[in-house]
Amino acid sequence: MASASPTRAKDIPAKIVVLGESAVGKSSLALRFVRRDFIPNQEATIGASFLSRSVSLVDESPPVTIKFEIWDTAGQERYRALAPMYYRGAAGALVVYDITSADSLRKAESWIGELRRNADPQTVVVLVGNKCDLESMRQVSIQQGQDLAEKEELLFYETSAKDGTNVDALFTNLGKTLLSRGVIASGVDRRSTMSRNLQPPGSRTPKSEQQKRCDC
Amino acid sequence: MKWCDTPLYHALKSLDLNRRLVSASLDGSLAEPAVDDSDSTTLPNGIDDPHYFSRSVLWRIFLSVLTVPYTGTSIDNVVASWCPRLFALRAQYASQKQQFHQCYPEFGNVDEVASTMEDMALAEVDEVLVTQNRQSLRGSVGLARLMLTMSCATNSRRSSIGKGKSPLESCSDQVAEDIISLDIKRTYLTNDPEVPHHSLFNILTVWRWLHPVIGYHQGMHEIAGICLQVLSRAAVAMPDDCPPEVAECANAAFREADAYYLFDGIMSTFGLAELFHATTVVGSQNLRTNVGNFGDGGSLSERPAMTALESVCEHVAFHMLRDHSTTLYHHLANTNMFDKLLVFLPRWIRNMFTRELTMPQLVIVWDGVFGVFYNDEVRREDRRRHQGNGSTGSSGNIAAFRRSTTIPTVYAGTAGSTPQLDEDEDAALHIPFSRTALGVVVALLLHIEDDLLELDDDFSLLRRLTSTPIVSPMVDASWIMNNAMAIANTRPLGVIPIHRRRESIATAENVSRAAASASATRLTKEELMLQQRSVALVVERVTKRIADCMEVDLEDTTSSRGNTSVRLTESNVAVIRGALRELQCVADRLSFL
Repeated sequence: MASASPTRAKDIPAKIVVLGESAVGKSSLALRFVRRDFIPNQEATIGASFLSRSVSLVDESPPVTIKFEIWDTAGQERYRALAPMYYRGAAGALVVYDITSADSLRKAESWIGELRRNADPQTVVVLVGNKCDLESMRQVSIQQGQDLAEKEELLFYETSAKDGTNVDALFTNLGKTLLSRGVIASGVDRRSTMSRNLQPPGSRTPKSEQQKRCDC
Repeated sequence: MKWCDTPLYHALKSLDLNRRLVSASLDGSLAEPAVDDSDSTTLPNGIDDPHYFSRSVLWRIFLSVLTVPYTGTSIDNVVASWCPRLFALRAQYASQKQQFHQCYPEFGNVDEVASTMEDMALAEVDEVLVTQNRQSLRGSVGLARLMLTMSCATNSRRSSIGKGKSPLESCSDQVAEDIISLDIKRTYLTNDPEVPHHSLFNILTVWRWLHPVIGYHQGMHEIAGICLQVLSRAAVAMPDDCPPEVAECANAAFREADAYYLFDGIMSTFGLAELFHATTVVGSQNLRTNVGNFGDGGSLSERPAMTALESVCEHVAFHMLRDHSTTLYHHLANTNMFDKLLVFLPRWIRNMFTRELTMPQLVIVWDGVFGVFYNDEVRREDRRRHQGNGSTGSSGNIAAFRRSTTIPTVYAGTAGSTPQLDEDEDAALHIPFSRTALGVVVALLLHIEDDLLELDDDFSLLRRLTSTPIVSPMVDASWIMNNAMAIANTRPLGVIPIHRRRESIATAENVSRAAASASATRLTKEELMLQQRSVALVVERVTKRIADCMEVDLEDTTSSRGNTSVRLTESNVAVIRGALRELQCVADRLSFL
């Protein structure tokens, strides 16, 4: 697990949550970024998995190192009531869909809505169309993704966790955006973002809503 | 390995003599490698582990797929009773599978369709027996037919089939099937020829179809995968000189059907399905009060309703963990991990450690968990019969299932090896799941305690708590299991501010072993106190147990049923023997201390 470089004191932690439909490649995307590796039949994530990698942004002045703490969630998990726990206090959120599945884009839209309603308005949301290496099976055009991103004012990338296209670029640009928008800043005590995690569990999504969103 | 050397044979043999079945399989004979390997660094890789054969049958006994009669009959009689049931189940599965694939909504009489299909399936079973040259078992096919006809009259099995939806009726069903096939494609069992994709797919889709309320959830595919794998290995590991009735239990031709019932046993009988049920409300004001009292996280108790899974997670954290390591408990509380219990614990519990442990460790843990479950069920059943009151089932699910199954009623005299579970205590806590499995969770948490105490931010903690596997593959699973059983059966001790309790939380035998090994390092004063405390607890428990069976005896003589009192006396002798053994261990420890 511990493939990321050791954390130094000046690393700025940034919590990034990865959301999206089952099997769109959330874990693969995170693994590609963190370990520069691709496993064809990546196991289904159950609950969540946690990965981190520090990235130095040398062209910033002064140069900074961001430690991306990736909270990779399960796609099929029916425990949607848990979702707020994942995106609460997140600096960035990747909403991933699969370009070979139109349905996964619709799921992505519902995730964007969810984030708009409940997440911190500061959270930078990135719409990610994954599996762009599977051009022949494409069901979602680049334009469709871009349109949605523009409408919702999101960052947008098409990536391939398999061949690595745009994966590093996505995270580097996300880091830059986080800095420029002041979501994270060097020298800021981490506790200020952490404190949002302390909301009592009573404030979770009400039960009725959980049932409504159940995808069966 | 010869048939008469297998743990299964020994388990059945001990059943024959003194009606103890579980103790034989839990005392380590199943857990330890058969061949004494001098090279202790090599782990049994499992594939040719001869225990898989015994394991596959014992698990089915533990989960009431196969049953064992009450009175001590010969092993031959016990195993002879299995074949008709196996055939009936296989026919039932074949028929259900066919109904699922073809769907007969237009047929009014589902029963008729089902019985026709079962007849056809039995004919196929018969045919397989002929081709495999197992003619001696063909008589069981007739018995199986009889069983199916009778079960049709007595339970609602078939009408429930009619209620299942056709796979084509709604698109959400189609989606579920897509998810199942996707999950199967990408499980770690994928490249294993022991786990054929189509079998795994059939098992999961048929089960899902018959249990529309619970449906399919990710994670089930791994449980079913393990079932298939164990049965595949059972066929390989089967001793050549097995009686044909026993060999039939591992007949590779019916691996899928057998795996289905093993999986169903884990889901329905053992009650794992309950934890997959997202909307089950545990109607336990009690539990919430308890959680509120025990835990510092009082806010959790204000929630209106909890699913079974949530209440189990909270029980682990606020009750069991707190009792066994206050240091870790407070550390997790201070780092706000209890807000995030549901991020990591569900996978541990609901997947039954398929991701947390390696296969050789996993099966040993399952041996113990299922064995204790069976043990407790049998004891409960015994008590119920004794009280002449069959309606005290604390777990409705199991009770309902049992009404339609032959209840295995072996007296499980494991007094010596596992502490007795106090039923009242169990019922009062309303834990809708196996205490032993939860004991494993705590044992694993205690095992990685040092790692966890070093981490103080939520991300690092979560990363450690979700790492796969959670402990080194070299960790001895039977050691984990022993700790888990001790943890599961420990009564609340109150707060003891001691960091290292794991050496001291163990069964009597283990404690004496641990104490012996600790002699080299010298115990601290605190540890000494703990040892004394646990000695006192053992003595108290043993005294109570002996007192209990004295009472039973007195009651029984008044009923003036000659043979009943003989049987009870026998079982009481076993209890008292066990108690004496435990006291002997305590005496050993005292002399050491």
